[in-house]
Formats: sequence, structure tokens, C-alpha cells
Amino acid sequence: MSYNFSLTTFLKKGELGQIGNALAAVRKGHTSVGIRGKNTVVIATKISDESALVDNDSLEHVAIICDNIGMVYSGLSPDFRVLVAKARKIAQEYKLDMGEYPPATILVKKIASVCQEFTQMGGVRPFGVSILIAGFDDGKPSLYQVDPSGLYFRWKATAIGKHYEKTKEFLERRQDALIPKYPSRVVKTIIHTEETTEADDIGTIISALKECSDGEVTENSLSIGVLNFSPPNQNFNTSTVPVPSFKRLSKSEIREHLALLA
Amino acid sequence: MVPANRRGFHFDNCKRNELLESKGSITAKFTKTGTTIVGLIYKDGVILGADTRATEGPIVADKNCEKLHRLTENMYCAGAGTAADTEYTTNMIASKLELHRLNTNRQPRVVTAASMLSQHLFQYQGHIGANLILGGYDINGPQLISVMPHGSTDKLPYMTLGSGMLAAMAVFETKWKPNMERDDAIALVTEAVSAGIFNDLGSGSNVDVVVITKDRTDYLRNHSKPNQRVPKQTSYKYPPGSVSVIRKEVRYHSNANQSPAAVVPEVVMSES
Amino acid sequence: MSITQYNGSAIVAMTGKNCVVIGCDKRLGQQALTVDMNFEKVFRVKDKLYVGLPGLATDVQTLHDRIRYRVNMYDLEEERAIQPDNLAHMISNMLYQKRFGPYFCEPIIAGLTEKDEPYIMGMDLIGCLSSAPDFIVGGTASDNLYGMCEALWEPDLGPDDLFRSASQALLNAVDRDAMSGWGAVVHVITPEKTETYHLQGRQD
Repeated sequence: MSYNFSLTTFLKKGELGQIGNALAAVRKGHTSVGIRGKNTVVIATKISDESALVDNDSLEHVAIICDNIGMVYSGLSPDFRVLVAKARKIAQEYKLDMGEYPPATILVKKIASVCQEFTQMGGVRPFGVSILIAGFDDGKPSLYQVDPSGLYFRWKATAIGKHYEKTKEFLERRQDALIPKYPSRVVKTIIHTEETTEADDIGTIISALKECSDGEVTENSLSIGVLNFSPPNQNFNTSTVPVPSFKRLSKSEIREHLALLA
Repeated sequence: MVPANRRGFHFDNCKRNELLESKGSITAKFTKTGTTIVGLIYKDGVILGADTRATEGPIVADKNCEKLHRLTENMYCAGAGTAADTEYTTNMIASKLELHRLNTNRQPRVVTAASMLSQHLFQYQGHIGANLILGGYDINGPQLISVMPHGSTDKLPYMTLGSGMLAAMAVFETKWKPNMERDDAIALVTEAVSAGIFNDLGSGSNVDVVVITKDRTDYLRNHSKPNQRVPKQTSYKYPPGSVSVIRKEVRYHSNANQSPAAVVPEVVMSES
Repeated sequence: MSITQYNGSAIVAMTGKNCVVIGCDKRLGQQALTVDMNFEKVFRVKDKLYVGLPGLATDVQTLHDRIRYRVNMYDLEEERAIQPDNLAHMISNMLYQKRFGPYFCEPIIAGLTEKDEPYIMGMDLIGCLSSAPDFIVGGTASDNLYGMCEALWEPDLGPDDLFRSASQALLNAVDRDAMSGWGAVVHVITPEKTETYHLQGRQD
């Protein structure tokens, strides 16, 4: 039989079969998109609304890890929950140790090594999710993708899950479309995401999901998270300087952005 | 050796320290807060107050330390006793509460924090020297709970703790009444802490206050500063050449616009 | 006698305008017997970050080794220079982990932050952090140092004035402490460079 059930045994062609299968599970999951802006990162996902009876509010698609880090996934939601719990714990432990929340790259490395462990340890299976992580490194925003194998990348903009190729093409097209706005610059060096505002990025993401994912895009079928520098919380004045903060958009906020695009 | 990354307390120095102690050496002193901490419930919420002196025996170790520890947006904890214990205990509980908040998507409750604190302190049988006044506002309204080092808790409308607790309680017993107005309540808290500052040697310097209401928390750091140091009348600067230098080395920092990091020894007998 | 006084030590850190100074005495003793006259207790962590470790010499060396290990690991893992406040938390944690069997050492951190602002931090032997806008002292001469520093420190001293104030505070403090002395080493940290001065002191 050619099918390989063992996670930790390489196939003849030098691959680990289960990791390929985990990636297949990711590609079946709902589409998630992320864009890195100048001072922001926007991540979002299109929630499948297969049945009108499902209460989507009960599920957490965009997760807050700590004040300055958030993540979204494509793939199996139970696996994501486990990773979210681990990520939150990692962030809290880092804070107790160093007196501040981890930079995105550190959290990503630790999450990625958790994923890697689950490709080599006995008696386990890999996580059936790819995740997008929004965070800050040295005060600059960054967007990471972590795969079931433990592989991670940094992106300016990317998409994962169902129709990810189509969505990524859309993001690339969007990049080209915006280039004529800056004729004086050298075309190839311009990355649109570094010139746009948070609202532009949210708009681009919604358009991408509208165009490339299945089903209707409404405030009920979207989950959006935004990482930016927010002014200190007026009601709980614990800081006087703007602090990085990751927030989930409320339904009414998403509705406003949808109205802008209509 | 115990791996550095292992969580929790390590006991690998205990045997050695026991030996040192048996040979007649007294173990060193920990920083104590000394402290007057107070808390009261007023009309719209709860107020905590603290002085800002830390002591090491008879020495003032910190003239303006912070004894009001943030647990969550809606909860603060005033700490007295061994300073490191109050700091670490509240930090750990703050971390657990933040995880709890994220995982449940709900604002943590004061009783949750209180039982976390008392369970932790009970587990260590009083060896963690944290005397705490926990104040917060949640769906059950304003609450004030004290937690003692052995893990006992107490729920009262007003309370004082620390070496200056008697002085502060004298003020509360005289002037506290139910349903006070915000400004009056802040003034009373300040007065109670000030009583500790001026009458208890373990307490001193400034008054920190935190006011927690339904949807707002105001942390008033150094709300009252009754012990400002007067400016020096004279400058005690030493003139150049007053320090006898045997040898001088210069190390340029690698990120500065200087030659790459290098130690350049210079021999000088007296400072220029 | 407290075990922290077994070897003798004196450390002072002071803030100035865009600069900090940290210095220590050079004596190592076994109670009243002087063993070494060139035992430095302030160590370089990074270009603009120093740590002073007053207390029991065996713990001074052990802690220094552990700090160096942790900072080197931080460098490799995070690929960035550790900041003073992160180092303070790191050391504080190391000490509090041994809450019930402590190291007999009260570390003092002095350095410049990313923005070249002066930073000093002290802690007790179980890691209780205490910050101050002016100075931090430690060791067997700490009582004397408190008095000297309260008198000599003033705000916004430049590197030269700060060096002299800190040096005089240190030298005069150890002259009235039998357990410390035998000269001193003072590091003056500015954004461009760190100057290290070896000072003449009484040899008794």
C-alpha cells in the first residue's frame, strides 16, 4: 500500500506524508487574509455560513494573544484553539520573565517550534492549521504565517486556506493597480501595503474575500482583527503614550467598512 | 543544576544556606514595604491608598516605590509585607487573570482574584509574606477583600494593613461613613495614609491612590506629596582634579560613529 | 554578622544628564582578613549596560556566570541588544526563583536605554526591584554611601561632574567601612563611549 500513516517516517520521495495531509486540511479551511501596512497589520477571515442556524458569535476566529499580538487561521478550528491557548501562555510567561510582551518574531518562533514538535513526537498528529500572526518587531508591524510543519514566513500580504492562490493573485493585482498613484517612484520597489492606511487595508481585505471566497460577505460572515498604535485608554488610564494594541472589529464597524465598499 | 527555564521556586541553595546559618551567619534582610495601605468602598466604587516607602531594616531602601499593583483594568491590589512577595504574587495573579480574561472573553471578577490569591498564599503556608488589600469593581459592584499571608480572606467596607494600619484605622474609625462622595472618599483615604506616613516609621514619602468605578479606573500616582525635599542651598560639586586616578581605559561603543569597539588604555596619574 | 558582609563590598550607581556612572571597591576579604585587592564587582553586560553585584563573593561569581549565560542566549534568540529594564526583570526573576534559598547578593543595574536615557535599578537579594531617579547603592558600605550620595548627588550632572561626585561618594564611604575599600573602579557610561577609571584609595 502506498499510503503512509506514520507521521514520523519519511516517504521514499523524502516527504512526511502527514504534513502534506495537514496542509490539505488547511487548504479546505475558510480563507484568511493578512496585510501589513505602515503602522498597522490587518488580518481577517471569511467564516463559512453553511447554515443560517449556526450562531457564529460563539466561535473565535480572530484571536487576541496579548495586547500587541493577534492571530487568525485556516483549517481545523479545534486545533487552532489549542494553539491559541499555547500562544497566550507563551506570551504571559515571556512577560513575567522579561517585563514586556514578546516581539512578534519571538512568539512566532515559539509557536513554530510547538508545531514542529508535533511533527516529530510519537503519538501525536500535526496541527491541521496554518496561522497568520500580526505583531510588532522593534516598533514596526509584521505579518507572519506559520504552517503545520513549523515552517514560518514573513509577508507583506498573504492569504491562506481555500482559494488562497486566487486571493493572493488578487492581492498582487491590487498592488499593481495602486502603483500608478506614485509615478515618481521606481515601480518595482513600491509595495502598496506600506503606503496605504488602515482603512485601505481593511477595504482591500474585504474586497479580496468578497471576490475570492465562496458565499456572501456580510458583517456576520467576516471576522477582522486590526493591530495598530492606539491612544491610551481614556477610561483606564494606565499609560500616557500610544501603545500597540490588537483589537477585533465589532459587527457595526465591519458594516461601516462594507458600506464604504458598496 | 536545575535548568534555568524551569518554572516555580528552586531550593538548590537551601542546604548551603542552612550550613552558613549554622556557622553563625545571620541570613540577610529582605526589603519590606513597612507600609500603610488602606481601602474603602464609597458611593460609586472602591478606593485604595498606599504610602511609597520601602525599608530594609532601619534604612529607607526606596523613597517612592509603588505599592498599588494593577491586576486587571478593573482591579488593583495594595501590598504590604515582603516587597518581593507582594510584587511577584500580584504579577503572577495578574498574568493568570489576563489569561482567564482572554480565554473566557469576560471581565474577571474580584472574587476570582481573591480566591486565586488566597489559594496561592495558603499553598505556601505563610512563607510568602504578602498582606494584600484587593479592590475592584465587577458585575457584583464594588468589592474590597483583604488576603493575609496564610491565605485567610476578609470582606469589609473599609480596611487598613501594614505597620501603619493602626494610625490609618484611627482615621477611618473616626470619619468613615457609608455612601461617601468621590472627593470626600479620596480625601479620607489620603488622610488615613498620611496618618501612617507621619506616625509610623515604616511608612513615609507620598500617597498613591487608585479609584475604581464601574467603567473607569484612575490611578493617581503620588496624589499627595507631603514630603518634598527642599532644594539644596549649595552645590557640592568637586573641582576637576580632585579624584586621584591610577589608570583610565576608554571603550568606544560599536554603534556610535566612532572607531570600532576598542579598549584604549590611557595612563594618567591625576584626572585632567 | 550577616553573610552578605562576609567578603565586603561597596557599589554605587548614579544618573546624570545622558550618562550614568557605576563603580565598586576592589576588596575581597574573609571577614577581617583581606584576601584580594583587585576583586572587581561591576561587570560589563553590553556596551552601555553594566551590572554591579555586591554581596557574598561566591554568589557574585555564580550570578555573573548565570547572567552572562542568559544574556548570550537572549542575544542569539532575539537578535537584538537586551535593554536595561529587560535585564533587570531577568535578574530579578533569577533571584526570586530562589526565594526560599537565596543568593546573598543585591544586584545593581546601570546603563543607557535605547534612547540613551540613563537607567539605574537596584534589587534586594530575592529580586524586589527598586528604582530611583538619583542613585542606587549596595554592599557593606551602603549605609555610608546613602549619606554620601544624598549629599553629593544633584540633577543633570555631566559625565565629568558625575564621575567626580560618584567617585568621591564611593571613596569617602569605604574609608569608614572596614569591610570594603582598597581602591575603586568607576565606569562612566555615555552614548559614545564608556570610560573606566581605576582610582587610588586607602590600602587599610
